[in-house]
Amino acid sequence: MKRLVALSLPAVAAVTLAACGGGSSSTTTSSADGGGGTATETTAATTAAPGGSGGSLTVGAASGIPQLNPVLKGTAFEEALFPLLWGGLSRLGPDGTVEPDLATRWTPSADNRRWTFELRDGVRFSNGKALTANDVVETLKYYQDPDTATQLKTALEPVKSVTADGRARVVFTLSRANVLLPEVLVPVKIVDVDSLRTIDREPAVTGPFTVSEFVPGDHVYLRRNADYWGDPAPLDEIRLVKAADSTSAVTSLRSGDLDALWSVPSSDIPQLRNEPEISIVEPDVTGVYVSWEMDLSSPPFDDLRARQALAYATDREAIFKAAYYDQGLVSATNTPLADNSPWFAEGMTDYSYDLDKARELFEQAGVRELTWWGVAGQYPEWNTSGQILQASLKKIGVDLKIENRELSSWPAKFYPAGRRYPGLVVPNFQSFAPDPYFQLSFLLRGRCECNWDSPEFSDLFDEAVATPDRDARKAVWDRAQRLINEQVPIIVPVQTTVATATQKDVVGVWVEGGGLPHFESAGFAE
Amino acid sequence: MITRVATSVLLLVATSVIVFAVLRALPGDPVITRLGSTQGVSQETIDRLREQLGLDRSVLAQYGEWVGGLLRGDFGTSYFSQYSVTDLIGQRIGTTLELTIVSVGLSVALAVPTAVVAALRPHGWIDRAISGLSSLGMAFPPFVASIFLLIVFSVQLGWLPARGWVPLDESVSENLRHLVLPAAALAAVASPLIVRYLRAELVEALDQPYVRTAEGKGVPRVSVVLRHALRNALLPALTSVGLIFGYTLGGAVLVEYVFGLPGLGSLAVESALRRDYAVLQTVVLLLCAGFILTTLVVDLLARALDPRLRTVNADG
Repeated sequence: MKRLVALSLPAVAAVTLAACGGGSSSTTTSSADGGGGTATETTAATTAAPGGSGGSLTVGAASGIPQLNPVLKGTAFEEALFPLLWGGLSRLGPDGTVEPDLATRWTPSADNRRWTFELRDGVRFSNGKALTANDVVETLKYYQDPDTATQLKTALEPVKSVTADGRARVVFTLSRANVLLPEVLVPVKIVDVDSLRTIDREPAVTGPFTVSEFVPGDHVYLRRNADYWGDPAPLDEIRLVKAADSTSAVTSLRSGDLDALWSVPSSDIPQLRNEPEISIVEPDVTGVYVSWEMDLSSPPFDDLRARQALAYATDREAIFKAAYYDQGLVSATNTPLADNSPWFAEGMTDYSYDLDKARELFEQAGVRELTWWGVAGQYPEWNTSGQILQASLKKIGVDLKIENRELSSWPAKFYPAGRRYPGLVVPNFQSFAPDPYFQLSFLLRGRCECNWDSPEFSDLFDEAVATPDRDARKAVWDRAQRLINEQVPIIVPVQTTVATATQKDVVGVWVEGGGLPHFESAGFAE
Repeated sequence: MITRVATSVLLLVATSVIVFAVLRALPGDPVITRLGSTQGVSQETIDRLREQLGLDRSVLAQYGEWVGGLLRGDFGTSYFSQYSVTDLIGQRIGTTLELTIVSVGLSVALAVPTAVVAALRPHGWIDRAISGLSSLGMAFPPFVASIFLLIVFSVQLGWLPARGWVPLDESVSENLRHLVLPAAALAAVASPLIVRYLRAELVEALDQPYVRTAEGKGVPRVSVVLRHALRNALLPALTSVGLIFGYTLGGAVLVEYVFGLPGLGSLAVESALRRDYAVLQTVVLLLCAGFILTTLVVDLLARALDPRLRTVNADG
């Protein structure tokens, strides 16, 4: 799972994009026979069958890659790099299923609190060191070290201990039952902790590519890893490069300087879809939702009526059209999961645009003015959304002041969770795998800057995670979604997508529900 | 000469103080930027990271540490990678230097013949046309020229790459293909400045008695201009080329960014956006030092070439 606070700052934004995990798709509990998870839905899209052989693929993005340590990842584009370089115990396949990677099989205990992973034989880091259970143990220690500022800290919080049972077996002990551990571990890349000091210069990797050249913030060139344990990558080389900004990136794609572009601006997608030389790759079920956060621990949004009023005052259709160019889905129920997700709960309150209800609720809550806390110079969709909301609120006598800050100073007002910011509406977006585990985890206490503290929601979350049966688990997730729908901890106007565009002759690219592109099997059509 | 060098050193010290102070006055926090607003991060983790990066210390202490490091040749380490600032600069300085040198060379190559043509018939229609075009060229910021060139030659015509860089040692032809548009963008803005300056000097020189003498002796007009007037006009214009070098170095920041060149300019922009003070303050100081050094060298060169300047100094 990953969370994007802000996508691509031509450099920094990258900054704010916070990921907390790579992400896996919705699956049922992993099978005890080592076959990995059983897929129940497809969350990834692919341009075609795995591609031809040889060649160099240039992939662009409006944000650069400042460092190579997968544990410390801070920018979204880094996530496209890490599966090319490092393996984890599990990984996501193009069809959205969780499959074995450095582990060949995993087995949960009866109570799902103890998981045993069997490691693949013959895997070596690119520095020649053989992968052992101790590497997994040390990697997890590194992730959980208080000095390690990793985005996966909260995801790994239930892991009580990790121990080696011989050279090729690892045992995870959890503080509470979790039937989705293999999914949770997808973004956890196993590193050679002993060579961390040189990870930006000579990374010791286990993936299908190795690093041939790295200029921080500008480009990373990869070449095929001749010692990769699996099928060799089709491409000889992949170049991940930074474009100045999204406009320049699209220009480079059109001129053919880029073979692929990650995170295509919504405004460009409709036109690119009509261009014969370009393909748009996006998931069937999106895991990206727009979230407007409010501080629920201070007035006026500690009052449910104020939150519900804001939900009714949000003209979702207008925002979807004007700000997101019809890319994605309108979220009438104001909940994270898209209504085409098999996990979507039916029978929830509809928060479609209704200014009469909004006026009444705002009056009851005594709200007369609010502030929109956006980002200057980027995310035009946020600014458009703010203007639409401002116009709506003006009609019912609520003044919305729009303030936009430069990206690096924008989070100071509301980050980290626990900070108070009365009366502010903070636009943002979250990007996760489409499974409710990832989609809803953002709303747990201490994660969402909305400061929602609902023991009932936490209990439902824990119950769902501990429920092996898919139907039973869906029933619990339904209750959790209804609680969110009723309590309105955040405003979700739309679910959108993070699309990747490629030249028509590029094949084998696929995208996770959260928008993370995969180039491991990419190639060129014959 | 000693005074001139001392002034340059003082300028450099003042620049370091201003750069450091301005960066610290900017809103934004490199720690938050580095964390990417990661969910679930506690204030303790943020504080620990701030301490690791040395950002919990007073601004004065941070400045002292930076300057001390500079004097020892240690420029510090980026907040965002394991690379030292020296390495990051080393990876990119070649691109910036090549772009700057080629741009200045191109500017001069364009400007000198243009100025000569304009000066041959002062206030004639060619002179007026060149003057008009020069004014237009100077009005264009380098990034506007960049975007214009990019749209025409990359997107519309598809002749040249829109972005990227190939080092000279990898492929000379590809290096030049990637260099043409950025260098042209900078030259399009810098050469009009040289044209105007040189044209004025030439017109003045062509009005001097020695020119009339030469023409009276039957020396052809072209020869008079190239051998006598231009030689004398170039010396004062040398100062402007020094300034143009600095101007081009500054313009390269945006041009590199627009064309996605891995130079010091794009490093500065990225570091500014991330608030990677460790990198940004040194890169900006280096660019300023480049400008100060260039003007110093030009001044010293002018003194060496023009005996009158030495005389003035001796008299003074």
